[in-house]
Amino acid sequence: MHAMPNLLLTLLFALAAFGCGDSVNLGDNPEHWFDGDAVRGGSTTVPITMYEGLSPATYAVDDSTLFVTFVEGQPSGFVAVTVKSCDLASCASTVRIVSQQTYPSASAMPTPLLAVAGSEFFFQSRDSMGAQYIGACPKSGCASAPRQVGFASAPSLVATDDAIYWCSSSSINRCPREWCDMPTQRSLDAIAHAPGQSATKLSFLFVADGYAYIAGPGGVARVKGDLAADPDWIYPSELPMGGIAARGDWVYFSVAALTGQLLRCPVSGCVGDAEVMVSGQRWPSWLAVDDATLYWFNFTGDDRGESLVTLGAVAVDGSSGPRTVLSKVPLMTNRPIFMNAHHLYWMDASDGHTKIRALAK
Amino acid sequence: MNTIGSTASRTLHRIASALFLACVASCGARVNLGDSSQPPAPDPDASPDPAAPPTTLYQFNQNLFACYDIAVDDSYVYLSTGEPGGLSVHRCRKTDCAGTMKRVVGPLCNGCGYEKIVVAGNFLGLMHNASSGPVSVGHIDACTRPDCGDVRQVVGGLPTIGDVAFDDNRFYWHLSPDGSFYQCSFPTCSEGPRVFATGVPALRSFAANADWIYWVNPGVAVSRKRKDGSAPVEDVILGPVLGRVPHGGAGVPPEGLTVGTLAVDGSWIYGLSSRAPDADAGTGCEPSRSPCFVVRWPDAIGGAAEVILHEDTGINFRGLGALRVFQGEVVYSSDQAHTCDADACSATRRAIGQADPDRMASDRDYLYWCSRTMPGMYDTLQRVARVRR
Repeated sequence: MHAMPNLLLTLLFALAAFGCGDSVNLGDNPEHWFDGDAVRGGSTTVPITMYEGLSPATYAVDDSTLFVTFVEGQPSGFVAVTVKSCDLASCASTVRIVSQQTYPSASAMPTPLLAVAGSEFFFQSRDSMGAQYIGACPKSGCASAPRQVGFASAPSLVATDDAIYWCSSSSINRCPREWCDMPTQRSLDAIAHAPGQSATKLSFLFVADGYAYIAGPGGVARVKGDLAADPDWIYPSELPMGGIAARGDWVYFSVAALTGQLLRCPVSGCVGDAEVMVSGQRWPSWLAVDDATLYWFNFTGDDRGESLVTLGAVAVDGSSGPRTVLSKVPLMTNRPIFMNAHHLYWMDASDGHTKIRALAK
Repeated sequence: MNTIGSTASRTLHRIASALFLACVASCGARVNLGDSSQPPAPDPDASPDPAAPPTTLYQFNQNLFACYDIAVDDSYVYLSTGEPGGLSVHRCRKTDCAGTMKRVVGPLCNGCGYEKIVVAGNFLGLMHNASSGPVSVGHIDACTRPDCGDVRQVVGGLPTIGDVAFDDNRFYWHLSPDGSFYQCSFPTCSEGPRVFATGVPALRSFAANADWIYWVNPGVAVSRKRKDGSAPVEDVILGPVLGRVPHGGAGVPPEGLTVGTLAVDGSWIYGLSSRAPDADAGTGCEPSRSPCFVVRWPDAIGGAAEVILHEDTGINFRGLGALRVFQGEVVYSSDQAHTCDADACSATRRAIGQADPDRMASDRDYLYWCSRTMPGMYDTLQRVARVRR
């Protein structure tokens, strides 16, 4: 009854270069890929458009490759989930399908998630019995069925060289990237609850240098990457968190409020108040940090109801004050941002066109 | 019903128009067309007798068909209104309201109207809180009374605003996504918003007097904070006396009453409750357990509670609804709206019909409100003399 005709159609052919170069043609083809060099090229003030067209369900980036997931209904009623990838240096000429799966209906489709680390990318799938699992394919594409990493229903995925992480309502879960029968789980109840509140939600997860950093209604904490010990508080707070990122000796997080702030604590935790890096922001969210700069998006809003944001940046060593890098970005706030060694990536949408954008650091 | 209502409304409108034209023709310079330079004229309709039935000051119609909120100052009634061309703010003189009705803001786009209008110093404070597509864009505006020719945004681009309270030169508002109250100077907010209180993710009831902001967190105690910020948030226990628990503590039954609807007036805290402050938990309003008590406490810790009204708990009793208090006059709703003098409520209680306490304002002598109407019927603007003078 529940057998699912889960037709795996993995295609490993490079598509002909059907991108539009630097000339956007929004004709019959709902996808337009561009060849701007998002590795060595681009500007620190004018973003490159890498893709424009049909709205992707999600995307992921590493240092060399962009992965994009599309969900399309078919005349038969089936739903196709297709992952395409391209080289960041020349996307239009290298775009290819690296995974395609079909499901009998949208309700049978797992949450389209995507993460990339090392030589593989990871996503959610269902087996022939309908059970959800985390699957993996080589970055070059799946030649056969995805490799099963573990059975789980994850609302989000973070991949590292060692493991896959995800948060449920009040706990963090880990599965070694090779395989796990049962994910390791660690309760984060104190972080998932605001004081006196019953609702739970772990808002943000960032994994770096052997630790997982988590922000939620109760504040910010970290737990060892193997989840072998209880979490340590970094900064308890009842203020709403807008993002988290860690680099070196510091963990950065934002208070997503009308009078928002960018804060940081030592990775071992704050003694007393957190250091205020930037104040007077409006719902600062989606943090990304490298050795030199902390980036974030501010939600300015406007009376036309568009969710326009600004991209802000500040030197982490305090050598320069906060600055606005970009204004009036129609950011898709329900999609992640990514940063690699050379660019910052996000999705935006305006006038019915969805774009994947890259800004050189 | 729609047809009858529309017909009646059109007839009334024709009569009103004819009377208006006749008055224009015969009365010449005595007609007050709402110009702010005109002094208030005697109000022939005003009855100082609280026992007299409410007076209808304005019948809304197909050209001005809705009343979303109301405010009054010494001379004018201000209304957040709906028109075929969009939403708007109108004002009229208390004397001859129908003849002096005048648009002062708008027309605004549909969905751009004001949910709240408050007289604050020489200004009107205006709150817009509607969703626009996937984004809820709220803003708080100001304009100079009475003509509002300078309406301007004081703070904007906000997510859903829980509620707002205005002083003459300061305002306070709640943002649910932030779980915070903010404050700023009014009417410019030139210094930018400042956090007033945090840790309030949901707001069930909100009230302010000269010194305090009060709120009810679902499942948590009534909390308050001094407007001047001179003390931290305190949770109060609404028991036989007003008590205090540490912030974050449990000021909930059995320590005190659960009050879903709160009002403050002068130095009193008012609440609707389903049991008396000195009753055992589990006993109270039967059979529905809906609120049947109006209780008040002095705002000083240790002040004794007073049950100022215990409503009928008969089979048809559906409980007390909205609660407002205007300078000692309590307004609440059950099957219809009632008012009373808070110091002698049972003795002075009177029904005023289908008034909406949430769309009500008061001056020294009168209560003004927009009526609750059936779907398809137009609101009316009404007035009645206060019981408490």
